[in-house]
Amino acid sequence: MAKIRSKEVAEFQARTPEDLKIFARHYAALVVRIGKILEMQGITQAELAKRMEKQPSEISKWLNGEHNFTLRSIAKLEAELGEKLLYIPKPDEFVVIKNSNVTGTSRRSSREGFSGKFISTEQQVEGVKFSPRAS
Amino acid sequence: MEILHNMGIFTLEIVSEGDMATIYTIRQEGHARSEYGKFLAACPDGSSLEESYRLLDILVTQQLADDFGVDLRFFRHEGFVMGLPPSPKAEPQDRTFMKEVNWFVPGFPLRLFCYPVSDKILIVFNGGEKKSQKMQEDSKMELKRREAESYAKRINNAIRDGYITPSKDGFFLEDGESQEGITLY
Repeated sequence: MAKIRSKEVAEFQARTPEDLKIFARHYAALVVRIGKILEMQGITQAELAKRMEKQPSEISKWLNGEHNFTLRSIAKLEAELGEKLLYIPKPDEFVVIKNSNVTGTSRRSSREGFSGKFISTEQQVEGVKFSPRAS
Repeated sequence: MEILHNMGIFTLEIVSEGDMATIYTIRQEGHARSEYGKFLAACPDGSSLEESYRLLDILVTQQLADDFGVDLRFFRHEGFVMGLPPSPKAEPQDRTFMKEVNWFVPGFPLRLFCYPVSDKILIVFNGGEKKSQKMQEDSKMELKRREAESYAKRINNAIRDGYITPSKDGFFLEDGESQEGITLY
């Protein structure tokens, strides 16, 4: 998380509901990811609109921040683009988080949650706490 | 050499620091609030606008700083004469690169004036509620835009003249001293 150095901003953010912070991060991340996928695949908004049988203006709203995405519309985009937009851990899966970034996942073998060091098969990640599975 | 400008003496202050960018605002000498602080202070608590203020604040101070950097897809040109901030060695220019933050909520009702110095440094000023589509029709907003432009030009000049240097970690004075609380005269 970015470090807030301004006292007046810190005081303002102390009153910002947590769900709003989460929504803001998800929304911007989603729009940016979609934009990058389109760039990588060389697809214009007009082409995407045609493929999805939607009006170009509607796709433009999706990609320019004038649309509240539903799970259904995210699924349609994933299907059309062939790329994951949303990742939700499986019921028995842990997400390894370091410095607010997901750095790995792991299946747990027991019903108990735990915290401590996680050693992946690729590299050792120290001081990382397992977060309990999303409910 | 102290030069008195219309906007007086002001200080560059860090609002937030993230992995991808440093967000600054300015505080005019003798003012209790920074320019960005004035923007936040205008947030009418409990109103329908409050959520918009808070979303915009998170975008600017958290997401641009930590996730995206100063990504121009989040900005909308504010109708100023455009030009990238020149390097200290470039010919003097009197153009600035002003933008308005554009957030992703249907019919987003706010404007926030800012100056993207680089993909690592953003300076945010004041703004407010959009009361008309054309800013020229809103005299208070137009005044804030001119104030922001004036600050941006002076910062641009300070960069051009080598007084401050933008780096990946923020602004530094020409002697390499601390980037915090840089005063421009």
